[in-house]
Amino acid sequence: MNEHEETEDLQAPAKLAEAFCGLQKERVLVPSQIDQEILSKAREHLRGSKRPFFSLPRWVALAASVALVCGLIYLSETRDKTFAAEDINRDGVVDILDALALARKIEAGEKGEMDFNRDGVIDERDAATIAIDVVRLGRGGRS
Amino acid sequence: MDLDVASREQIDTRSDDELIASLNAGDASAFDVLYFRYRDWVVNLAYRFTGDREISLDVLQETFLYLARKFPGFRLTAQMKTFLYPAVRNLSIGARKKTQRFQSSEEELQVIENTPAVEDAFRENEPLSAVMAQLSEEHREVLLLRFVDGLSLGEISDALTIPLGTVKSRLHNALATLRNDPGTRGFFEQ
Repeated sequence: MNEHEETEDLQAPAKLAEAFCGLQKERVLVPSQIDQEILSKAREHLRGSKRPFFSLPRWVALAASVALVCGLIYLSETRDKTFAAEDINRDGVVDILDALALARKIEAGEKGEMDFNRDGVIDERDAATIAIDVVRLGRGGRS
Repeated sequence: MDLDVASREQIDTRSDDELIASLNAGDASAFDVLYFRYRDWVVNLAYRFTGDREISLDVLQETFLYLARKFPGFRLTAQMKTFLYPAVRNLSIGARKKTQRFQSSEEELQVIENTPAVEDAFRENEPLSAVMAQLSEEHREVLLLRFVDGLSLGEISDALTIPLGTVKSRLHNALATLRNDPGTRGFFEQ
């Protein structure tokens, strides 16, 4: 049996169905003025809520905004910043960590303007130069 | 809205789904068709819940503004009546509660909050009204949805968000009460 099918015990005799319909005291008629008022308000809303050509879910828009703000902050902090040549790890400070970073780069065979002792060769002595310079001058300030 | 416009909207043959698609596409005139298609049902349903003509007209307005606010992007997953029914019911109960707030005790307000004013809307001194008033709200609601509003069992299940089996059981019990009551037994006799 179809689950939507009505068995006899779920049906009302015609007399009863008719009586149900006559049960309500009065039928409410809607004045045309009310029709106008409702439709006018509805149209006002419908006109003001046209779907944009391209719309995104709110959470996507929010995430995009946050990412944009973070990006701008990052760029504003880094765009014009210049680092000293010796500030190998670009953390804004020339210290013993830069000497270590340079030693690793040299060990890894990286090339670049890293001839800090100006002897024409890029080797561990350039890293030592930075280390000695940091210790001798007590440097460690921002680059 | 003049009568010509109302008549034109009423004879529009587009289905509810087609009208909703038009509305989602920006055709606001499709709303008028939906409005005139369901206006009388909504206002009389609201009257059944409130027993008050003026409040019913307010509920009518709130119901259709609620519907309008669903656009664009509205998707009808069942029948329009099953979508509108809970809105009308809740708005009616809310409206009754609001109007009686200053006249009733907290206890009475609780009753108003949970019970539609069927007795107020029905004719008095009729055996059927008397028996209906004795039924629980749940049983009465299913009876009215089936035999006054003409909803199918499946639609009632959707409107009340209850299982189909529960709808059948409530309808069966409600009809059995009417069948056994001396005041309404006559309706079942040939």
